[in-house]
Amino acid sequence: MSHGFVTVQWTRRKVIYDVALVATVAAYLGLYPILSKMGQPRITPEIVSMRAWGSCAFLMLTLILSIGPLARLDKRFLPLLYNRRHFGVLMFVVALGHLYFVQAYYYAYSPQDPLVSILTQDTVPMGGALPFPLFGLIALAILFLMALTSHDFWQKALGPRAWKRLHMAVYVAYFAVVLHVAFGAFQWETSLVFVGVFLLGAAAVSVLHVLAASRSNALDAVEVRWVDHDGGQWIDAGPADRIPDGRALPVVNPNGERIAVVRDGDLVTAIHGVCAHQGGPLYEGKVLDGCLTCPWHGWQYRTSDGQSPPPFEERLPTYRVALAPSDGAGGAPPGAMRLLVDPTPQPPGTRLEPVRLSPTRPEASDAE
Amino acid sequence: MTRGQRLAHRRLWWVLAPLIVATLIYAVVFRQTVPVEGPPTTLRPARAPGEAAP
Repeated sequence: MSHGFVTVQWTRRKVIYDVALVATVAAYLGLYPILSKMGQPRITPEIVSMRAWGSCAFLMLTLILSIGPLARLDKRFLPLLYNRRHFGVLMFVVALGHLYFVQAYYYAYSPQDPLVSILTQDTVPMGGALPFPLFGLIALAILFLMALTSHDFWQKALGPRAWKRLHMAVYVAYFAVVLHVAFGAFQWETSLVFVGVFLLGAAAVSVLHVLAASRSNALDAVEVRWVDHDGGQWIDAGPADRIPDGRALPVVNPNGERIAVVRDGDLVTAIHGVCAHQGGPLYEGKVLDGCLTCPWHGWQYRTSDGQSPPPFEERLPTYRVALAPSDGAGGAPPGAMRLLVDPTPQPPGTRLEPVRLSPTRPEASDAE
Repeated sequence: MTRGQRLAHRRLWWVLAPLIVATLIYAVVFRQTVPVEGPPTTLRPARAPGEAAP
Protein backbone atom coordinates (compact mmCIF):
# COMPACT_ATOMS: atom_id res chain seq x y z
CA MET A 1 0.00 0.00 0.00
CA SER A 2 1.11 3.61 0.19
CA HIS A 3 3.54 3.49 3.11
CA GLY A 4 6.93 3.75 1.36
CA PHE A 5 8.13 1.63 -1.53
CA VAL A 6 10.23 -1.51 -1.71
CA THR A 7 11.27 -3.34 -4.87
CA VAL A 8 8.84 -6.18 -4.24
CA GLN A 9 6.73 -6.69 -1.13
CA TRP A 10 7.31 -10.40 -0.96
CA THR A 11 4.71 -12.53 0.71
CA ARG A 12 4.45 -16.31 0.82
CA ARG A 13 1.68 -16.20 -1.78
CA LYS A 14 3.74 -14.05 -4.11
CA VAL A 15 6.74 -16.37 -3.82
CA ILE A 16 4.58 -19.43 -4.59
CA TYR A 17 2.93 -17.59 -7.49
CA ASP A 18 6.25 -16.52 -8.97
CA VAL A 19 7.96 -19.89 -8.51
CA ALA A 20 5.00 -21.62 -10.21
CA LEU A 21 5.07 -19.02 -12.98
CA VAL A 22 8.79 -19.30 -13.72
CA ALA A 23 8.71 -23.11 -13.48
CA THR A 24 5.79 -23.31 -15.93
CA VAL A 25 7.48 -20.98 -18.42
CA ALA A 26 10.77 -22.88 -18.10
CA ALA A 27 8.96 -26.19 -18.62
CA TYR A 28 7.19 -24.81 -21.71
CA LEU A 29 10.40 -23.47 -23.22
CA GLY A 30 12.18 -26.72 -22.37
CA LEU A 31 9.49 -29.06 -23.70
CA TYR A 32 8.64 -27.12 -26.86
CA PRO A 33 11.85 -28.05 -28.76
CA ILE A 34 11.44 -31.74 -27.87
CA LEU A 35 7.81 -31.90 -29.02
CA SER A 36 8.56 -29.73 -32.02
CA LYS A 37 11.37 -32.03 -33.18
CA MET A 38 9.03 -35.01 -32.90
CA GLY A 39 6.51 -33.35 -35.22
CA GLN A 40 8.97 -31.64 -37.57
CA PRO A 41 12.36 -33.41 -37.52
CA ARG A 42 14.00 -31.00 -40.03
CA ILE A 43 13.28 -27.87 -38.08
CA THR A 44 16.34 -25.83 -37.04
CA PRO A 45 17.06 -24.95 -33.40
CA GLU A 46 16.87 -21.22 -34.18
CA ILE A 47 13.39 -21.52 -35.62
CA VAL A 48 12.32 -23.68 -32.69
CA SER A 49 13.56 -21.08 -30.20
CA MET A 50 11.78 -18.30 -32.07
CA ARG A 51 8.51 -20.22 -32.08
CA ALA A 52 8.85 -21.42 -28.50
CA TRP A 53 9.40 -17.93 -27.07
CA GLY A 54 6.85 -16.30 -29.36
CA SER A 55 4.10 -18.81 -28.70
CA CYS A 56 4.89 -18.71 -24.98
CA ALA A 57 4.51 -14.91 -24.92
CA PHE A 58 1.22 -15.14 -26.83
CA LEU A 59 -0.16 -17.77 -24.46
CA MET A 60 0.96 -15.78 -21.42
CA LEU A 61 -0.67 -12.58 -22.67
CA THR A 62 -3.84 -14.51 -23.52
CA LEU A 63 -3.94 -15.93 -19.98
CA ILE A 64 -3.15 -12.57 -18.39
CA LEU A 65 -6.02 -10.91 -20.23
CA SER A 66 -8.38 -13.78 -19.42
CA ILE A 67 -7.77 -13.59 -15.67
CA GLY A 68 -9.61 -10.27 -15.20
CA PRO A 69 -12.93 -11.24 -16.83
CA LEU A 70 -12.71 -14.78 -15.40
CA ALA A 71 -12.34 -13.36 -11.89
CA ARG A 72 -15.34 -11.10 -12.46
CA LEU A 73 -17.39 -14.04 -13.72
CA ASP A 74 -16.21 -16.54 -11.09
CA LYS A 75 -14.49 -15.66 -7.81
CA ARG A 76 -12.42 -18.84 -7.84
CA PHE A 77 -10.08 -17.16 -10.34
CA LEU A 78 -9.31 -14.28 -7.97
CA PRO A 79 -6.05 -15.80 -6.62
CA LEU A 80 -4.63 -15.61 -10.15
CA LEU A 81 -5.36 -11.90 -10.26
CA TYR A 82 -3.41 -11.19 -7.10
CA ASN A 83 0.06 -11.16 -8.64
CA ARG A 84 -0.79 -10.51 -12.27
CA ARG A 85 1.82 -7.77 -12.59
CA HIS A 86 4.69 -10.23 -12.15
CA PHE A 87 3.01 -12.40 -14.78
CA GLY A 88 2.96 -9.37 -17.12
CA VAL A 89 6.59 -8.43 -16.59
CA LEU A 90 7.71 -12.03 -17.18
CA MET A 91 5.60 -12.12 -20.35
CA PHE A 92 7.38 -9.00 -21.61
CA VAL A 93 10.76 -10.66 -20.98
CA VAL A 94 9.63 -13.74 -22.94
CA ALA A 95 8.37 -11.52 -25.80
CA LEU A 96 11.73 -9.77 -25.79
CA GLY A 97 13.37 -13.21 -26.07
CA HIS A 98 11.25 -13.89 -29.15
CA LEU A 99 12.46 -10.62 -30.72
CA TYR A 100 16.06 -11.58 -29.91
CA PHE A 101 15.79 -14.94 -31.68
CA VAL A 102 14.06 -13.36 -34.68
CA GLN A 103 16.76 -10.73 -35.00
CA ALA A 104 19.59 -13.16 -34.41
CA TYR A 105 18.36 -15.53 -37.11
CA TYR A 106 16.78 -13.45 -39.84
CA TYR A 107 18.63 -10.18 -39.57
CA ALA A 108 22.05 -11.10 -38.20
CA TYR A 109 23.83 -10.34 -41.47
CA SER A 110 21.60 -7.61 -42.74
CA PRO A 111 23.54 -4.57 -43.94
CA GLN A 112 20.93 -2.39 -42.24
CA ASP A 113 20.14 -1.99 -38.59
CA PRO A 114 18.07 -5.06 -37.62
CA LEU A 115 15.19 -2.89 -36.41
CA VAL A 116 15.15 -0.99 -39.71
CA SER A 117 15.21 -4.32 -41.56
CA ILE A 118 12.19 -5.54 -39.63
CA LEU A 119 10.24 -2.41 -40.45
CA THR A 120 11.17 -2.30 -44.13
CA GLN A 121 10.93 -5.98 -44.97
CA ASP A 122 8.51 -6.91 -47.77
CA THR A 123 6.16 -9.34 -46.06
CA VAL A 124 3.69 -9.81 -48.91
CA PRO A 125 5.55 -12.80 -50.47
CA MET A 126 5.29 -14.48 -47.07
CA GLY A 127 1.52 -14.50 -47.31
CA GLY A 128 0.91 -11.58 -45.02
CA ALA A 129 -1.33 -8.87 -46.42
CA LEU A 130 -0.09 -6.55 -43.72
CA PRO A 131 3.44 -5.94 -42.38
CA PHE A 132 3.17 -8.26 -39.40
CA PRO A 133 6.60 -7.47 -37.86
CA LEU A 134 5.45 -3.88 -37.36
CA PHE A 135 2.50 -5.04 -35.26
CA GLY A 136 4.82 -7.14 -33.14
CA LEU A 137 7.03 -4.11 -32.50
CA ILE A 138 4.02 -1.93 -31.64
CA ALA A 139 2.86 -4.54 -29.11
CA LEU A 140 6.35 -4.84 -27.66
CA ALA A 141 6.67 -1.06 -27.30
CA ILE A 142 3.38 -0.89 -25.36
CA LEU A 143 4.34 -3.86 -23.22
CA PHE A 144 7.72 -2.23 -22.52
CA LEU A 145 6.01 0.92 -21.23
CA MET A 146 3.73 -1.17 -19.08
CA ALA A 147 6.52 -3.31 -17.65
CA LEU A 148 8.51 -0.15 -16.93
CA THR A 149 5.65 1.49 -15.04
CA SER A 150 4.32 -1.66 -13.38
CA HIS A 151 5.71 -0.81 -9.94
CA ASP A 152 3.51 0.89 -7.34
CA PHE A 153 5.96 3.80 -7.34
CA TRP A 154 4.86 4.71 -10.86
CA GLN A 155 1.25 4.23 -9.97
CA LYS A 156 1.64 6.74 -7.17
CA ALA A 157 3.68 9.10 -9.35
CA LEU A 158 1.27 9.02 -12.30
CA GLY A 159 -1.89 8.83 -10.21
CA PRO A 160 -4.23 5.81 -10.24
CA ARG A 161 -6.42 7.13 -13.07
CA ALA A 162 -3.60 8.01 -15.48
CA TRP A 163 -1.82 4.78 -14.59
CA LYS A 164 -4.93 2.71 -15.27
CA ARG A 165 -5.49 4.53 -18.54
CA LEU A 166 -1.92 3.77 -19.61
CA HIS A 167 -2.23 0.13 -18.62
CA MET A 168 -5.50 -0.31 -20.49
CA ALA A 169 -3.30 0.01 -23.59
CA VAL A 170 -2.55 -3.67 -23.03
CA TYR A 171 -5.77 -4.37 -24.96
CA VAL A 172 -4.41 -2.46 -27.94
CA ALA A 173 -1.17 -4.41 -27.54
CA TYR A 174 -3.14 -7.65 -27.61
CA PHE A 175 -4.89 -6.64 -30.82
CA ALA A 176 -1.48 -5.82 -32.30
CA VAL A 177 -0.27 -9.27 -31.23
CA VAL A 178 -3.30 -10.90 -32.89
CA LEU A 179 -2.50 -9.01 -36.12
CA HIS A 180 1.18 -9.96 -35.77
CA VAL A 181 0.36 -13.67 -35.54
CA ALA A 182 -2.62 -13.69 -37.93
CA PHE A 183 -0.66 -12.08 -40.77
CA GLY A 184 2.63 -13.68 -39.78
CA ALA A 185 3.18 -17.22 -38.50
CA PHE A 186 -0.49 -18.16 -38.94
CA GLN A 187 -0.11 -17.78 -42.72
CA TRP A 188 2.46 -20.53 -43.10
CA GLU A 189 2.18 -22.62 -39.96
CA THR A 190 0.81 -26.07 -40.73
CA SER A 191 0.50 -27.39 -37.19
CA LEU A 192 -3.13 -27.83 -36.22
CA VAL A 193 -2.20 -27.35 -32.56
CA PHE A 194 -0.77 -23.93 -33.34
CA VAL A 195 -3.77 -22.95 -35.45
CA GLY A 196 -6.26 -24.19 -32.83
CA VAL A 197 -4.53 -22.60 -29.85
CA PHE A 198 -4.21 -19.25 -31.60
CA LEU A 199 -7.81 -19.10 -32.79
CA LEU A 200 -9.28 -20.37 -29.52
CA GLY A 201 -7.05 -18.14 -27.38
CA ALA A 202 -7.81 -14.91 -29.21
CA ALA A 203 -11.52 -15.70 -29.48
CA ALA A 204 -11.71 -16.63 -25.78
CA VAL A 205 -10.16 -13.33 -24.69
CA SER A 206 -12.71 -11.41 -26.77
CA VAL A 207 -15.72 -13.42 -25.62
CA LEU A 208 -14.71 -13.33 -21.93
CA HIS A 209 -14.33 -9.55 -21.97
CA VAL A 210 -17.68 -9.04 -23.67
CA LEU A 211 -19.37 -11.41 -21.18
CA ALA A 212 -17.81 -9.65 -18.17
CA ALA A 213 -18.74 -6.24 -19.60
CA SER A 214 -22.34 -7.39 -20.08
CA ARG A 215 -22.54 -8.52 -16.47
CA SER A 216 -21.13 -5.21 -15.28
CA ASN A 217 -23.58 -3.42 -17.54
CA ALA A 218 -26.47 -5.34 -16.01
CA LEU A 219 -25.48 -4.18 -12.51
CA ASP A 220 -25.31 -0.56 -13.63
CA ALA A 221 -28.70 -0.89 -15.29
CA VAL A 222 -30.48 -1.88 -12.05
CA GLU A 223 -33.06 0.77 -11.32
CA VAL A 224 -32.45 2.62 -8.08
CA ARG A 225 -35.42 2.47 -5.69
CA TRP A 226 -35.70 5.57 -3.57
CA VAL A 227 -37.09 5.71 -0.06
CA ASP A 228 -37.89 8.83 1.95
CA HIS A 229 -35.83 8.68 5.11
CA ASP A 230 -34.43 11.13 7.61
CA GLY A 231 -35.59 14.11 5.58
CA GLY A 232 -33.97 12.94 2.34
CA GLN A 233 -34.00 10.39 -0.42
CA TRP A 234 -32.08 7.22 0.42
CA ILE A 235 -31.32 4.20 -1.75
CA ASP A 236 -33.15 0.96 -0.94
CA ALA A 237 -30.32 -1.62 -0.73
CA GLY A 238 -32.67 -4.57 -0.30
CA PRO A 239 -33.48 -6.96 2.57
CA ALA A 240 -31.29 -6.43 5.60
CA ASP A 241 -30.18 -10.05 5.76
CA ARG A 242 -29.12 -10.40 2.13
CA ILE A 243 -25.46 -9.59 2.82
CA PRO A 244 -23.47 -12.65 3.96
CA ASP A 245 -21.38 -12.11 7.07
CA GLY A 246 -17.89 -10.83 6.24
CA ARG A 247 -18.90 -9.79 2.74
CA ALA A 248 -20.19 -6.75 0.89
CA LEU A 249 -22.72 -6.04 -1.80
CA PRO A 250 -22.69 -3.30 -4.42
CA VAL A 251 -25.23 -0.51 -4.50
CA VAL A 252 -25.13 1.73 -7.53
CA ASN A 253 -25.21 5.42 -6.77
CA PRO A 254 -27.25 7.55 -9.21
CA ASN A 255 -23.98 9.11 -10.39
CA GLY A 256 -22.90 5.63 -11.52
CA GLU A 257 -20.32 4.99 -8.80
CA ARG A 258 -20.64 1.88 -6.70
CA ILE A 259 -20.98 1.80 -2.94
CA ALA A 260 -19.89 -1.26 -0.94
CA VAL A 261 -22.44 -2.10 1.76
CA VAL A 262 -20.42 -4.23 4.17
CA ARG A 263 -21.47 -6.64 6.89
CA ASP A 264 -19.09 -7.55 9.67
CA GLY A 265 -20.93 -9.75 12.14
CA ASP A 266 -24.15 -7.91 12.98
CA LEU A 267 -22.81 -4.52 11.95
CA VAL A 268 -23.45 -2.99 8.54
CA THR A 269 -21.63 0.03 7.13
CA ALA A 270 -21.08 1.48 3.67
CA ILE A 271 -17.90 2.78 2.05
CA HIS A 272 -16.90 3.77 -1.47
CA GLY A 273 -16.84 0.67 -3.67
CA VAL A 274 -13.70 1.49 -5.65
CA CYS A 275 -10.25 0.68 -4.26
CA ALA A 276 -7.81 3.61 -4.22
CA HIS A 277 -5.04 1.37 -5.56
CA GLN A 278 -6.13 0.25 -9.03
CA GLY A 279 -9.86 0.79 -8.91
CA GLY A 280 -10.58 -2.79 -7.80
CA PRO A 281 -14.15 -3.79 -6.88
CA LEU A 282 -14.13 -3.47 -3.09
CA TYR A 283 -17.72 -4.72 -2.92
CA GLU A 284 -16.42 -8.11 -4.05
CA GLY A 285 -13.92 -8.24 -1.20
CA LYS A 286 -13.90 -9.95 2.20
CA VAL A 287 -13.82 -8.45 5.68
CA LEU A 288 -10.53 -9.33 7.35
CA ASP A 289 -9.61 -7.94 10.80
CA GLY A 290 -12.38 -5.35 10.58
CA CYS A 291 -11.22 -4.15 7.17
CA LEU A 292 -12.83 -4.59 3.79
CA THR A 293 -10.07 -6.14 1.69
CA CYS A 294 -9.82 -5.52 -2.03
CA PRO A 295 -9.96 -8.81 -3.95
CA TRP A 296 -7.40 -7.61 -6.48
CA HIS A 297 -4.30 -6.85 -4.41
CA GLY A 298 -5.36 -6.96 -0.77
CA TRP A 299 -5.55 -3.24 0.01
CA GLN A 300 -7.60 -2.76 3.17
CA TYR A 301 -10.06 -0.17 4.48
CA ARG A 302 -11.69 -0.15 7.91
CA THR A 303 -15.39 -0.79 7.51
CA SER A 304 -16.15 1.84 10.16
CA ASP A 305 -14.46 4.85 8.54
CA GLY A 306 -13.03 3.87 5.13
CA GLN A 307 -9.49 4.50 6.38
CA SER A 308 -6.62 2.11 5.69
CA PRO A 309 -5.13 0.76 8.94
CA PRO A 310 -1.90 2.48 10.09
CA PRO A 311 0.71 3.06 8.82
CA PHE A 312 -1.22 3.34 5.54
CA GLU A 313 -2.99 6.56 4.71
CA GLU A 314 -5.63 5.86 2.05
CA ARG A 315 -9.08 7.09 2.85
CA LEU A 316 -12.36 6.42 1.09
CA PRO A 317 -15.67 8.26 1.41
CA THR A 318 -18.22 6.63 3.70
CA TYR A 319 -22.00 6.57 3.47
CA ARG A 320 -24.70 6.60 6.11
CA VAL A 321 -26.70 3.39 6.45
CA ALA A 322 -30.08 2.86 8.12
CA LEU A 323 -32.59 0.10 8.69
CA ALA A 324 -36.24 0.74 7.97
CA PRO A 325 -39.34 -1.42 7.71
CA SER A 326 -40.41 -2.06 4.15
CA ASP A 327 -43.47 -0.22 2.88
CA GLY A 328 -44.41 -3.26 0.82
CA ALA A 329 -43.21 -1.82 -2.46
CA GLY A 330 -40.81 -3.76 -4.68
CA GLY A 331 -42.27 -7.14 -3.71
CA ALA A 332 -40.97 -7.11 -0.12
CA PRO A 333 -43.42 -8.12 2.63
CA PRO A 334 -44.61 -5.04 4.53
CA GLY A 335 -42.72 -4.61 7.76
CA ALA A 336 -39.64 -6.62 6.69
CA MET A 337 -36.47 -4.74 7.55
CA ARG A 338 -34.59 -3.22 4.63
CA LEU A 339 -31.23 -1.53 4.38
CA LEU A 340 -31.14 2.06 3.25
CA VAL A 341 -28.06 3.94 2.05
CA ASP A 342 -27.68 7.71 1.96
CA PRO A 343 -26.15 8.43 -1.49
CA THR A 344 -24.38 11.55 -0.21
CA PRO A 345 -20.71 10.67 0.35
CA GLN A 346 -19.18 11.76 3.62
CA PRO A 347 -15.63 13.13 3.52
CA PRO A 348 -13.04 10.33 3.11
CA GLY A 349 -12.22 8.71 6.42
CA THR A 350 -15.41 9.90 8.21
CA ARG A 351 -16.39 7.52 10.96
CA LEU A 352 -20.08 6.65 10.88
CA GLU A 353 -22.21 4.65 13.27
CA PRO A 354 -22.85 1.17 11.89
CA VAL A 355 -26.33 -0.30 11.72
CA ARG A 356 -26.86 -3.30 13.96
CA LEU A 357 -28.84 -6.07 12.27
CA SER A 358 -29.87 -8.00 15.41
CA PRO A 359 -29.86 -5.75 18.45
CA THR A 360 -30.82 -8.60 20.75
CA ARG A 361 -27.89 -10.81 19.78
CA PRO A 362 -24.45 -10.36 21.35
CA GLU A 363 -22.05 -8.39 19.22
CA ALA A 364 -20.07 -10.75 16.95
CA SER A 365 -17.20 -8.42 16.22
CA ASP A 366 -16.67 -4.73 16.28
CA ALA A 367 -16.06 -2.87 13.08
CA GLU A 368 -12.70 -1.68 14.32
CA MET B 1 -13.02 0.56 -11.40
CA THR B 2 -14.58 3.99 -11.43
CA ARG B 3 -17.63 4.55 -13.59
CA GLY B 4 -15.50 6.26 -16.25
CA GLN B 5 -13.01 3.40 -16.34
CA ARG B 6 -15.80 0.83 -16.53
CA LEU B 7 -17.39 2.66 -19.44
CA ALA B 8 -14.06 3.08 -21.23
CA HIS B 9 -13.28 -0.60 -20.70
CA ARG B 10 -16.68 -1.65 -22.03
CA ARG B 11 -16.56 0.62 -25.08
CA LEU B 12 -13.04 -0.53 -25.88
CA TRP B 13 -14.11 -4.17 -25.88
CA TRP B 14 -17.27 -3.53 -27.89
CA VAL B 15 -14.85 -2.34 -30.60
CA LEU B 16 -11.89 -4.67 -30.01
CA ALA B 17 -13.82 -7.96 -29.77
CA PRO B 18 -15.40 -7.67 -33.26
CA LEU B 19 -12.07 -6.46 -34.66
CA ILE B 20 -10.22 -9.47 -33.22
CA VAL B 21 -12.88 -11.92 -34.42
CA ALA B 22 -12.92 -10.28 -37.88
CA THR B 23 -9.12 -10.53 -38.03
CA LEU B 24 -9.26 -14.22 -37.16
CA ILE B 25 -11.92 -14.90 -39.80
CA TYR B 26 -9.96 -12.96 -42.42
CA ALA B 27 -6.75 -14.78 -41.50
CA VAL B 28 -8.46 -18.18 -41.77
CA VAL B 29 -10.20 -17.43 -45.07
CA PHE B 30 -7.12 -16.02 -46.75
CA ARG B 31 -4.62 -18.32 -45.10
CA GLN B 32 -1.68 -19.27 -47.36
CA THR B 33 0.11 -22.24 -45.91
CA VAL B 34 3.56 -22.96 -47.22
CA PRO B 35 3.79 -26.72 -47.91
CA VAL B 36 7.29 -27.24 -46.54
CA GLU B 37 8.69 -27.83 -43.09
CA GLY B 38 10.73 -25.11 -41.54
CA PRO B 39 10.80 -21.46 -42.46
CA PRO B 40 9.49 -20.16 -45.79
CA THR B 41 12.23 -19.61 -48.35
CA THR B 42 11.68 -15.86 -48.46
CA LEU B 43 12.58 -15.62 -44.81
CA ARG B 44 15.98 -17.26 -45.05
CA PRO B 45 18.67 -15.03 -43.55
CA ALA B 46 21.16 -13.24 -45.71
CA ARG B 47 24.59 -14.86 -45.64
CA ALA B 48 27.65 -13.13 -44.33
CA PRO B 49 30.23 -12.09 -46.92
CA GLY B 50 32.22 -15.14 -47.87
CA GLU B 51 29.91 -17.56 -46.09
CA ALA B 52 29.21 -20.76 -48.01
CA ALA B 53 25.71 -21.42 -49.21
CA PRO B 54 23.84 -23.98 -47.10
